[in-house]
Amino acid sequence: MSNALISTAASAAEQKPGLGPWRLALRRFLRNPRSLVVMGVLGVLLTLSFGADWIAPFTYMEPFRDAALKNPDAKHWFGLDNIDRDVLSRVIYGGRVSLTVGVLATLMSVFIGTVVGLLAGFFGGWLDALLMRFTDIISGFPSLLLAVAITAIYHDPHQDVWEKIGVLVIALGIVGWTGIARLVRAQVLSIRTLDYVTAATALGSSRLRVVFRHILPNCISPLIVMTTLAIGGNILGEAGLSFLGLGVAPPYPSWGGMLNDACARIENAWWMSVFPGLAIVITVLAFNLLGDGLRDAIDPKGSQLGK
Amino acid sequence: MWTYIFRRFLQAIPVILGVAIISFFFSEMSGSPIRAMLGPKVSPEVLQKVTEHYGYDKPAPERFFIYLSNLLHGNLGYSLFNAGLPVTDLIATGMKVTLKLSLGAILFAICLGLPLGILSARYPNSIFDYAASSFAGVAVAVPAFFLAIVLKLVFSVWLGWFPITGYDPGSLKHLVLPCFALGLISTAATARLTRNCLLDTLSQDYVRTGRAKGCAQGRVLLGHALPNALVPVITIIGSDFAGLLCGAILTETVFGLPGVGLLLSSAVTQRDLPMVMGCCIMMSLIFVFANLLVDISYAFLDPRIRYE
Repeated sequence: MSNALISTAASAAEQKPGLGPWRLALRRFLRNPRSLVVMGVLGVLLTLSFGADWIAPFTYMEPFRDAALKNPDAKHWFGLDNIDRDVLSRVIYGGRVSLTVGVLATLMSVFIGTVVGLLAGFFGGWLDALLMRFTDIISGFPSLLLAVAITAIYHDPHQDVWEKIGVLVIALGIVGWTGIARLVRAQVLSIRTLDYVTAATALGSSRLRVVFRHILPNCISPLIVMTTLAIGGNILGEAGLSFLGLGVAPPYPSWGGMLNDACARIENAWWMSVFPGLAIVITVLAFNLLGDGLRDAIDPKGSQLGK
Repeated sequence: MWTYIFRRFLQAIPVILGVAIISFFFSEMSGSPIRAMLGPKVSPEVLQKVTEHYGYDKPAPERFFIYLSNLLHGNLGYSLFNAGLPVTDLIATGMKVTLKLSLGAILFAICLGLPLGILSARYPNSIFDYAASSFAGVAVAVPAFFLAIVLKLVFSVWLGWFPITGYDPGSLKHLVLPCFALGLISTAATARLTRNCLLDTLSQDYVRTGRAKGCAQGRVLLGHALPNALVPVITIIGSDFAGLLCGAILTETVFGLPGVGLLLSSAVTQRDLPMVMGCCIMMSLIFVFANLLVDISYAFLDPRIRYE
């Protein structure tokens, strides 16, 4: 009886006028304990990476030549690497590159993908055909391969950290937009014929206004979910490129680059590979779970069907 | 059916052409690789000679047509390193290893992923189903090369079951760990998709009819539902092939397998552009071809697709 009352009250609260879909989504998101844990983990990761100057026990390039053993111990929790640097500090600093590249590359893909998708979906005709064939060609490339090719061409050992991050962002951003373009196009095609768009046009709205005021806002929710999931993918991409030696130049650390150093020394220094690898896994997992949580919150019906 | 196959082949041509154009465009953007090959201390005359030898002194449009016609003749140019061997020969040797690796990975994905997915669909929302889906969620977040490193650490370094690095064409021992590392993500994807598709199919009318006829549970699951649920699964496995080729670049580097991936990663560090472009084109061709095969097999499995 009391259960029934509570659920009626809950559904009444959900339908209370004045609570927009975004507030409802936010409320669903905050009520999901898994999402809160994921937000916490991401918060810790961001604080560690960008507060590394204050948090990391040592700097990323300070050698400890007097240490007798390189194994993890009380002073160096994650051990020392092949040239006696503190692995924990390097893992903490390494998050900067991964997170920055992951987020910026995703923003770039989202921008390109949204523009292409909007143009193709809204204007249709030959522009649509042209843009979509182009999208097919880009997705015809194995994605990491294209990114490798682009970074390889602009690879210059003398680039500083920021220039290198720029190259990585461009390489991954150019590769990753095709899925987003297809998503936006499909959304635009289904929204374009709805009555309220016709009404807006009939009321004399310009095309630009229709696109930005009426169509784009209705594409946002699947776009947010896809963006979050793409960040994880781009962090993996950055790690892969850095692992191939195409990442930021040493001594600046990145997780993929640390794995590259570790790979050749696997027989005598397991800690060099395990900790940066785990950092990648935890970060990517956190972004993927955040994406899932956002999907559950924004589109509860869709996520029920998926289960 | 044949018209469908023909049409799909025609559709692949612009994609391949686009791949060639984009590869050329990117190699153009980076300028002549000759200086990088010869090092900073080379005299201008030698630089001039070598540039002419490799044809880098001609204007870009002319080189593009030479490049295209060479491509049509199966000539991808010559490596600037590797004793100047033709790129095609080097790739042909490496491709044997890479294909073995990718096919092995797909084999792992099918042999592990399909049963996992079927069991999850047979017992939905059970502990087993939950464990399988958590496994899939985690597997997607693990970079294949990190998994490769961990597997190598545990099974080669600590347990000593497999060789640490290298390759021996006669034995499969060197391929077991790389295939598993490479195939894990596809295994997870296959399991997840098989489960979802199978659950969808299990709620269809003809499955109920099968049950009403008195078919055994296993026969309904494997005989009636599974074949129809497999159509999307096959697509995913086919398009995973591209991901596997990319992953192979990294996995081969970890295990020191002499495949296209290792060729590519050393070409990348040496700035051996003809080699990088050749590898990209070859892998893209295989990718396009794999997608083509997937589409055709799709049309075989589901006749409705042919008449779209």
